[in-house]
Amino acid sequence: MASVDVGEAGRFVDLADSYTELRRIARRMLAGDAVRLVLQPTELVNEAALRLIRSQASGSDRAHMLALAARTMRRVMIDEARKHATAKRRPPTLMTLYPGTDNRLVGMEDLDRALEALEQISPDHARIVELRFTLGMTVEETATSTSLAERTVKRRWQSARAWLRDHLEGEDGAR
Amino acid sequence: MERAEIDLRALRLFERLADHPGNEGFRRRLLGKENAAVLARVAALEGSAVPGRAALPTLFPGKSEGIDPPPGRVGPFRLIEAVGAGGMGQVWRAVRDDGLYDQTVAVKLLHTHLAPLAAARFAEERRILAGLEHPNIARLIDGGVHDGNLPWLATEYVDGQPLDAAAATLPVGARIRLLVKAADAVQFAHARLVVHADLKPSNILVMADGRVKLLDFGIAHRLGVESGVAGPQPMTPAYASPARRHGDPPAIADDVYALGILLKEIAGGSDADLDAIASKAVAEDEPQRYGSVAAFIADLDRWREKLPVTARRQTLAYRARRFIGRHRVGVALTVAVMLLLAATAGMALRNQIRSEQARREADTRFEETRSLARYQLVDLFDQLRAAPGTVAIRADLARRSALYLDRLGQTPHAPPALQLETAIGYRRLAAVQGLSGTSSLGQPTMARHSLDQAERLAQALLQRRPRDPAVLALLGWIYADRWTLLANNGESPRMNMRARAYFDRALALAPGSSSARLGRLTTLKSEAYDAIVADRPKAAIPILQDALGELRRSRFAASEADGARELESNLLNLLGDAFYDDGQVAASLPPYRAQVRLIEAMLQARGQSPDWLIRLGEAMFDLSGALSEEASFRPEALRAADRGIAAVERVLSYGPDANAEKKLVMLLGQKAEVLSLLGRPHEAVVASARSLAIRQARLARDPSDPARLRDVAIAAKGHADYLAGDGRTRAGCDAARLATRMWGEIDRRGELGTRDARRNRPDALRTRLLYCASATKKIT
Repeated sequence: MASVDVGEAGRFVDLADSYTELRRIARRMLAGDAVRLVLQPTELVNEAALRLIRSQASGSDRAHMLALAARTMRRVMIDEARKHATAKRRPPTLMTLYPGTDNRLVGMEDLDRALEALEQISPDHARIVELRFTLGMTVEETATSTSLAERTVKRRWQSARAWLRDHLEGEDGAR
Repeated sequence: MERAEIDLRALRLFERLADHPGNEGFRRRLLGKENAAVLARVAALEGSAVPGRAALPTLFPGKSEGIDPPPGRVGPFRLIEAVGAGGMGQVWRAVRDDGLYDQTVAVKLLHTHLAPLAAARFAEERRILAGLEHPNIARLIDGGVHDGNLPWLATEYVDGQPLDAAAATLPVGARIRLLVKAADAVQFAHARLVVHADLKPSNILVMADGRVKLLDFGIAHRLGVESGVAGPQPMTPAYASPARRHGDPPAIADDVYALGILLKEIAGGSDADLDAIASKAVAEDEPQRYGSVAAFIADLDRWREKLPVTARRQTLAYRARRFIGRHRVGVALTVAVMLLLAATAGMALRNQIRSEQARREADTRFEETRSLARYQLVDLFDQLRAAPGTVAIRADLARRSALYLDRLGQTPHAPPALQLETAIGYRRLAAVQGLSGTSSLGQPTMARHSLDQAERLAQALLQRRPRDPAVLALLGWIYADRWTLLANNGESPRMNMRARAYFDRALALAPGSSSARLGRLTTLKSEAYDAIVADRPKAAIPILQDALGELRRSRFAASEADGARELESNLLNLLGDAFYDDGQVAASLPPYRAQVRLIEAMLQARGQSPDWLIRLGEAMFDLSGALSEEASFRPEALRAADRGIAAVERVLSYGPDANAEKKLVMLLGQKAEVLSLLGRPHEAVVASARSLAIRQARLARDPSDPARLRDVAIAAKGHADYLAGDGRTRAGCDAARLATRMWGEIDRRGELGTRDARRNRPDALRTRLLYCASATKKIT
């Protein structure tokens, strides 16, 4: 960490710097989902910001901060949907595009759990998925944000997707 | 190797293999020494990476039910599939196939065997629907009689889910929006004198795009029109009102009832207000229900806007909860604002190190965020302060604000405007934390700390801008605030004079400054207060009369208007005190009464804000005290005390409030005094015991606060007298001992005021000698 901003101040700077970007991401995340009836992008960002502050979580750099924010926003959406799900067993109410595809859907909660599991194995891989998929960054942008080579980003993105698919199918193997 | 390690290793291997596609030699070398577990994971990853492979379950399976082929056609419509069936007939999905245009409709058919009986009802439904063109009512398209004996009716085909199913996946707010749309349609029908009479989830469909359609006016009833349909009316018992179950013809109140049941079903138990609305709608007794669907909708709308609903009793605490709910977004916004502000400070610092250009950008952003900062520190605090029961929220906001201010305050070389904002922020924080005279958190030590921070910044600013009236006025206010935190001792007048000196300097530079003028008048008030406390009430009277006169002649900026009213109330109060302490009891009554009128007018105009309720308590205390001097006024004195107690208890019913509590103990003491004078010693002991207990609890929370020590000392002495008056001398001796111990403690700390030293402490000592001696005498 060569930045002059360390710790608390740095994380606030990053969060606030990214406010506009987070709004854009929130709009993207909410587009096409049933929760958009409930949550406005601004509310989603604000709620996520509140949670981040409360959690005292801190990002060591901008990429980490954004990934953290994206995950928090996803959790907010899931919680919001869960809050209103009935006791009845029903299919996942929140579907999202499967990472790296245009037409495949996956339950957002399932994806969230899978990403959490991936993070246990390799935080780097999980972060690349957050940046590439949740935040919609290009390979180049992801490379810049993570200070990794583009080739590395591509490879990790590929392997992370394979891992996620294997994990999700293993979970749902019986279906 | 653990599972996670295996997976990570497999990921790395997978990536390296992907770099050398088809290179079997590389593959062998790379995987040669790996164990079976890792190899299995690599194989799994490679299997999952195969492009085009069916991935995951996607959307939910569509609903499909076995349907017989359509029996034929009616009018221009070909029947496609049966989509519903009821006791009277069937509903089919049908398409127009007369070649005119494409149209899907719902065709309702009567059971053949029922046709002769129900034809009149069918015709009625057709007449009713023809008169109901509304976006939320399925439209009538066509109708006729098939083959001379089978009536049919074609309406708009609605592809949707029943209300309850559609609502199940939505948050409560969205559910209510759906119900309101349906209720809107019902209200529309009512306005055309049509009662639906069969409202239930399956008759309210929600389309995929959120549109709501009300269906099935099959048993609808035109008010004031003989239906021509004999016999009992069909109904759905679960949604039928008692009157309908009893067999009465449908009425508006029955639709209200059914909507209430629907509300219970889709949102029951999720919110106390919604439950209250539903309960009101389904009241067994018709007059207790909403008089119209419009009233029901209005209450739901109020709920959606987080306003109090009419179905709930309008307690203040309840309205306050709705207020907080309404401002939750505001509070969340504040957090976002604070993020931006903190970022601005950080950026200003970083950018100054970098370049002038960047610094200018930071300044621009600072200007933008400054107005937002004001929102949080001024508007939001004030709004919350005006709402009862918000002390805890304000504490949270204060804590967050302190963090943010500390960050801003530590920014070196910050622009002067930023320093001024920050200093003002600290001052407001102090007010929230514990300045007396307002509804506060009761944290004087923290308030003092915030004032220190404010002064540190303001003094630094004054070094840079020695002739800035705003900075001078701010310093004046900081000292005026400090004055309120002092015990009544010799330091008070000095602090007050420093405040006045700053205000005078500000006024010399900017004679029109509202803030400085109000500040200067405030120092007159404080001077008079100090004179009264120093046992010179006669000296206070002209000061107060002058200040009142000047205040009433002055005009203040809107931002200072409330402060001016507050000061006027204080001046009237002190004028009453000064006359009273000077022995002119009769002369004290007019100012006290004027103060009560002023406060009641403010409460009338501004709502029951805690600050003004507390002021009312204070005024009633003084009025009651003055009135109780004269025997014939004592019943009125007791009423005044009770009115004051009611006012501050109202504040306390919303939640803890240090200042209200302080006033409550004073009022209880006053009530005890009046009761004692009225010859009701036992009741007097009850009131004074409560007062003393609260004071002791307050002292326990902050044992170093000299004002709290004094409060206990005063109350304990009084309690001793009441106990003795009720014949309980031994208990009186104990209370008197407590009083003298407290005065001793205050003295030991060097915080004994002149008047206390001259009057109150000797009084306590005498009381102790009196009761304890007589107690001892009785024993021996």
